[in-house]
Amino acid sequence: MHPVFILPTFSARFFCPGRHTSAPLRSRVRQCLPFLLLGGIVLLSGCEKARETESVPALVNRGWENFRLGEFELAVADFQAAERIAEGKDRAGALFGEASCWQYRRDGRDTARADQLYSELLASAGGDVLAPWSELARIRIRHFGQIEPPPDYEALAGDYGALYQRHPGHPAGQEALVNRFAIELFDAAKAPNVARKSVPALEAFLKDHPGSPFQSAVRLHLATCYQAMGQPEESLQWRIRAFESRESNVANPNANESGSYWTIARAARFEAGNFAVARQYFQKLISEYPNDQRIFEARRALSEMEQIEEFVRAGGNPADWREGIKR
Amino acid sequence: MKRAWDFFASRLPFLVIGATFVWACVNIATRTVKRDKPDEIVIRIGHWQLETGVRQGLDELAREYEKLHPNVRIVQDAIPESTWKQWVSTQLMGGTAPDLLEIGNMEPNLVTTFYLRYFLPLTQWVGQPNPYNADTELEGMPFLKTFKDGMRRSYIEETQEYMNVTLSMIGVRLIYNKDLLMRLTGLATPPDNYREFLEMLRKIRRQKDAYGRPYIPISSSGWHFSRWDAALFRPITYPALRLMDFNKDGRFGKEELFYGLATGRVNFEHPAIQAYLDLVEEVSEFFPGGYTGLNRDEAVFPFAQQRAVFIPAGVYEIVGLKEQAAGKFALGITRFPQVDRADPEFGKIFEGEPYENQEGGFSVGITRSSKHPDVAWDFLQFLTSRKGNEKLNKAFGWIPIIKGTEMLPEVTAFQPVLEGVYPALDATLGGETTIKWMQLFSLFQVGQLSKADFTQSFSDFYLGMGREDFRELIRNRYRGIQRDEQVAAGQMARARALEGTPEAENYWMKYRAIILGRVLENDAQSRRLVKEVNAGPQQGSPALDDYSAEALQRIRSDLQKEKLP
Repeated sequence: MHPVFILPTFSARFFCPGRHTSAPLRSRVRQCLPFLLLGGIVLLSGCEKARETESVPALVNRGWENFRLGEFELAVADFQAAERIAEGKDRAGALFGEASCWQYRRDGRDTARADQLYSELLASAGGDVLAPWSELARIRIRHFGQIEPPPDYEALAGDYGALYQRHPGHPAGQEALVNRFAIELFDAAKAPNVARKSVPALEAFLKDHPGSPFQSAVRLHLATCYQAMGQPEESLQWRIRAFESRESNVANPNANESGSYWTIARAARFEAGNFAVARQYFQKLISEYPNDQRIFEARRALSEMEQIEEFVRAGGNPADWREGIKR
Repeated sequence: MKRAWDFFASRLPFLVIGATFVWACVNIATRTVKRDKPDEIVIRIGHWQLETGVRQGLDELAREYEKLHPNVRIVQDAIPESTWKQWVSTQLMGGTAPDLLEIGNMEPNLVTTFYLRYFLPLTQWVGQPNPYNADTELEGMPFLKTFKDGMRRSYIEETQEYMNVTLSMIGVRLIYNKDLLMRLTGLATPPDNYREFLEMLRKIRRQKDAYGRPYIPISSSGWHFSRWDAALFRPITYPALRLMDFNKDGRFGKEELFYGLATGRVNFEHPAIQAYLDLVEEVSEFFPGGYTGLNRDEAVFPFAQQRAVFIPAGVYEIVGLKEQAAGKFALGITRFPQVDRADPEFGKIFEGEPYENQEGGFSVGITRSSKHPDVAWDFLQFLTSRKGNEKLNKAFGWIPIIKGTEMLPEVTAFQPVLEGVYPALDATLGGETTIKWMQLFSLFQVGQLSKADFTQSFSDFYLGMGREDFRELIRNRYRGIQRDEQVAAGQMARARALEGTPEAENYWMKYRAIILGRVLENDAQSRRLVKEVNAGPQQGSPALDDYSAEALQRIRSDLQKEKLP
């Protein structure tokens, strides 16, 4: 029972004892129920009235605030109130907000309803800036909307690719392209042909959208492709280019460069055999992140590379280094 | 008379409830009146640190702050650990939580949800200098840079925001009774070397107290075991990491152990895992019988009663232990003994001392229900100023988190080791494997199951029933992806609302960081992990720490070039 109803029920019992002594509690509650419900309806309609006097942007903003706080019931009510009074672009914003609530809420999630709202937005405001985002969201529903069974990844990749073709200049379209290759290249090492076919499209993206915030992600996909194609040095260079063109969120200490340094150094060491680059990035890790958990292994790697070089200089075959070097 | 009594008796429960209700109303009303004195701002801080020194230290700093700000009153809500979770949940949900609240001591998923719903992001403030650092070398430095760990633990990936401020650093060491050690072994300090340490423990165990009871070399409990586990036992498994580092990030994840076992890259017979079991067997021999059934406090009694020589303790327990020892015996603090390369049994496995994480503890956030978040933030700045944090931690007896601070001499022994190895063993993949591990491992701990039997029984179970736990772990990852998507959608909405302003790009960046770095990355990795695990052992799979043929060729050619004039 909602707490709002508990107090009047008890109050009725305590303040009017004579009236309630004979009837059992349940029947008394039943007697009070119509009044309580009426009170509730009056209260709620009052809230609705208050909502409808607000402006659409205020309602949408509050809807998103409630969305961020996980108050989805309230967020949906805000967005719906906005939908009732909004027109054109504003209505698209409200529809998008409500659809997002149904798509992302954990309790009471209704992806079918979300999909329907995105479709409504596309039908009524196809030219709106939110239209490509709605298209992307509809594909995402099929991608992550349910945990099991796994989605049809091939179809998803096709849909993401088609979305990019429709909106190559829109951030939603560009994000879709990155999504497509994340799906197709997830195990590229075992599918070099897929990697080979992907390279032209990825390189074309870099050429066509030099200012895109997805440049780094696309370069990383290229690094994956070249690795799968047996060109580790080319892969390493793409990895470095991806790192150099990354978006740097300086406010995030965990989005530090230690992970990138480690990955580049490791690829340079084991995959490309480019010890100069490996040393450079292991050293960066050690000097810039002296508290990092991997410093021990970085120093060990530096020492091992020295030993391998010594071994080869002494005439050893690098393939036999493990047997040749006593750790 | 009887009728009146029946009447009264039949209504007694309601009268009690009613009286309680009235009492609660009066209480709340009077408290509100107290707080609503004109011009007075009350800042409440809730925490579960009931160790000696913490409440006193916070009180001391609170009174100093009140002197600087006479219109502010700081009130502490110190809540026992056992009821913390329930208390926090009800306070947050009821909108009555303190302005400042310690964060943690509950399931990580719950903490994330609480961050999203009930805590204010602090990002807007952490780039500004701390005004209480005026006239120190930290003056003008951004708040986050004044922390020894750069506030790493305060940045929450799920929210892409700074959400808390840590007040101290923590560490664990071995505490010993100096007088007893000298009397029983003739040693002023215990040896660092593992073998010599075992020898000393044997000597202690051979001796009896005035009542004829043998001395307990190490006081322990189920809880204290975890200290030994982290400091000595588990890090020996580090070499196994190179065989199963699936995502090649140089860190260990529990799913990687399952991957390693399912693909045949590693097994429980691996020398590093067997060495772990050997260490557990050898050291726990010196713990009290049935120690796994004892709780944390029960393990402290024999130490306080001078029947035990050693006990592991966190820096936050030192003040309490000192009080127990006061006037009776002298306390010593030492690092855990370590194996070395010369060790006859573990020398080949040993690679280095354990790495100790240098991250802050006692994390405090500002709740959304705070009426004065700016004042709460100001008080946090006061607690984390150079002078304030030094004073606070001296009172706590803990390690300060702020750069350039001094600490109590005895606390210096708790300074973390920042270069070393870390564990590569965690077989608690999910519910089933956790229960099985606990069941079998506790039998092994008390000697009712041999190492060979433990290895065989757990290995069979892990590779069989563990598959369901693995599947659930993957499902949980996808649940995490759904949560990440929700946060990303919120960031996108913010960015769109601010379109045309410089802040918009910041939110777009956060949006992309979640989508690219978490959502897509986790999806791709999970798919590959599932594929590899389902494929099982594969012939000819390259080792994860092998140089590729191209790499070996390049090494040779680079060295040949070196010889050219």
